[in-house]
Amino acid sequence: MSMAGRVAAIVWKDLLVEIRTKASFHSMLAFAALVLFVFSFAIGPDTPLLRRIAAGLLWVAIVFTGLLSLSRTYQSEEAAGGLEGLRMAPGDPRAIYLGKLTGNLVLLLALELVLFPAAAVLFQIEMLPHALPLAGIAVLGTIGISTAGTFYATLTLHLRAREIMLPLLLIPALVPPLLGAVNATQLLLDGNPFGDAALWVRLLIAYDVVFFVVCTWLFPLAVED
Amino acid sequence: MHRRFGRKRVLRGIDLSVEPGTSLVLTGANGAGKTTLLRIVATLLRPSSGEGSVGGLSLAGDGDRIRARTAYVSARGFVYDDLTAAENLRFAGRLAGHPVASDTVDTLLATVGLPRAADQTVRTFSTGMRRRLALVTLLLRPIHLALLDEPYAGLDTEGIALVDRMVEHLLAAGTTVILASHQAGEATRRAGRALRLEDGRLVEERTG
Repeated sequence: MSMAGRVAAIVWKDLLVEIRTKASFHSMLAFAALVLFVFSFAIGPDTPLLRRIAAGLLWVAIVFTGLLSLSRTYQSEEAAGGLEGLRMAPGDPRAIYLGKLTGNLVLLLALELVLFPAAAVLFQIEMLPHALPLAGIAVLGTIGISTAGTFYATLTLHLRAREIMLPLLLIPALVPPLLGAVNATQLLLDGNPFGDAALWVRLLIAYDVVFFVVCTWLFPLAVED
Repeated sequence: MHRRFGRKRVLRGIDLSVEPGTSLVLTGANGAGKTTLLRIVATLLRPSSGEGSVGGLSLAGDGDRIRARTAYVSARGFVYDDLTAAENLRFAGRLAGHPVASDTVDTLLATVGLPRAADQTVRTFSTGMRRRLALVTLLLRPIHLALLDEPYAGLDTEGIALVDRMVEHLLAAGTTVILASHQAGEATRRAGRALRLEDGRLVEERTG
């Protein structure tokens, strides 16, 4: 079977398990809502200030929630006896990475479909006029988080303290996409034309391309015991 | 061949060859190195030193080609609790490059004594039923080498007979079978050849 076929099989299996258990998505959603609420309560009823930092709060919530999802990347495999079932499949092992990456991406994007409107209501900001460019930034930022996150989740898979090691290793690596996504989102929400955000969008694209190529290339080494 | 995990030496100088189309049983206590040896042969683990080959293909350089001809059924079985038996089979088939047709699912499940289990979630299965489902993966595609880790664990008499029939079927098809089991009595009685691993060394051999 082609690489695409095996990637599709892994995505199908992961999403089916997720839909059936709903464990990851529901906890992610509750956690993300909690992060947004805690930030808004901590800052208080200062609406102009909330609007100024809304993009930062939103993306911090996405990254924190993403960590929850990414740490569960291989949970169904562990319950089934480890990654070896997937690794025994004939063909390029990079299919495992691409399948897991796609699954994480779909989950995070589904979460953002709820999180962006929730932030718009909570911080009283108008997102609808910028819906399309915002969606583009959300997709680019989420690709960056998922690409690096899935790879680091693989690297920390066999570590004893992986719950701590994953955020410790991943958060510094996510600084560039976080910077790009926060600045591009804030510029749009402030009413600046999309052109002003172009530099940050270019940073997001560059990060996504570099990390995708490097992580995909290195995955066979990362997955070995 | 040697393998160590940190300071612990799990395999200490294994020198072994298995004739194609024959069966070998590896016995030994828990921690003797049986699973490590199977995982090295399956190319899931590299030896710390030494080398090996499967059907003339190098363990070090031809992992992909070896895996294309090999099936490895681990003690846990690579079976997903939240999927049904049919979904597990379809997933395993797609992953192996041999998609399982819907009408074949029931036949395959009946082969391992799980008729009418296709739509049941594996979470509801007993240990023995899980083992049986895991064994079906041996039938999904043509293989040259079957590696079975503790295939008798958790099985009743009927289940043990099923594993034996499965091994006989594989041998008749020319497949080499390597089977690891700490239940020496069950496994060695049926094997063409048996080796005992003790503390990472081969200490006993019997050719039947």
